[in-house]
Amino acid sequence: MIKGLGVSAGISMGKTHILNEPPIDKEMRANLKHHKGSPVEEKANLDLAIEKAKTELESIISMPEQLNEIKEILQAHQMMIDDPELYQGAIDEINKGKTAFEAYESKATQFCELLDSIDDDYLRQRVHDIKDATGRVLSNLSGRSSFKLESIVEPIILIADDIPPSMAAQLSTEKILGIITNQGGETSHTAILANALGIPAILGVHDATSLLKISGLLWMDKPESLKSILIKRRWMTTWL
Amino acid sequence: MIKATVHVTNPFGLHSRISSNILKISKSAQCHMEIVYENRAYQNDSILLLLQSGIVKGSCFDVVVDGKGDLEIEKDCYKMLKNYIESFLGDII
Repeated sequence: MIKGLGVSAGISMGKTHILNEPPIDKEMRANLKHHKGSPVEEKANLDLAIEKAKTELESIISMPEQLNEIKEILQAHQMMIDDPELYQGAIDEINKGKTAFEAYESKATQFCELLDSIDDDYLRQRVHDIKDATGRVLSNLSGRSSFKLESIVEPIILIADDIPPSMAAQLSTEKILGIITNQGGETSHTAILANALGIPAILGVHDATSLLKISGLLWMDKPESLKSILIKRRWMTTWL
Repeated sequence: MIKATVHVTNPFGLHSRISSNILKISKSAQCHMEIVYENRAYQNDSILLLLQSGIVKGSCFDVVVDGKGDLEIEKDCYKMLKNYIESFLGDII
């Protein structure tokens, strides 16, 4: 039996898809360094990556029937992406010889570390917003393509370590039958959206992505209470 | 210059959405705004610095609006901020 926090009740049945976004690895980083341009070129790369990220967010914001709360969260992300302190800090690092990727990443990390030191759990969780927002710019700089929900062909139960706010904003009942994550809690954007859309969701399963390695049918039963929920893997062996 | 003290009652404090909306209001009003908390001033251009202020429920901070000589802009900006703050963040005391 697997236990997690049931944040959105409902019954769902469908095939699973495990979301595995590979991190930007050493080889990719070495490649970026190898192709480092002049500070002017690196600054231009950064500006392009930021502009692209803002446009991507704008297209998510303007999705039909997007919740107001989600629009505001993503508008905050747009502000974070080219925050003057972050941007100028990155430019200073570029002028010292770093690539746009290294410079932006190091400054973004500094801000995350400062926020992580706040003595309030909810505000500390905003680190996820900064990572999601700046991660988009870093993906654009590295050329790594992020998983897009629009690439899903048939409806699935999505299993992930965590679902960043900008991906949660793209959830739709047409494609996502249910959500299971390792992390997250009642106040996460995933929980808020899953509830609003009526998508059954179980968060904080801790080991979902490794326990549920092989795609199969998962039956997410309606929870008896929203505090904890058991996922029954009744039909997995039948389908392997 | 208009200065007001805010007592935060929002259980989640000054978080991303509220910070973003407050900054948007002051920018749209073309007015300079500052948030002063624990002897540190946060200008109206950096959401990341504002988030680091760690303003939580129960905190008190000052909001300072400066129209740089234009009293109309100053008053309008303050009015919009006041409405927003009182609706979503806390009480102006």
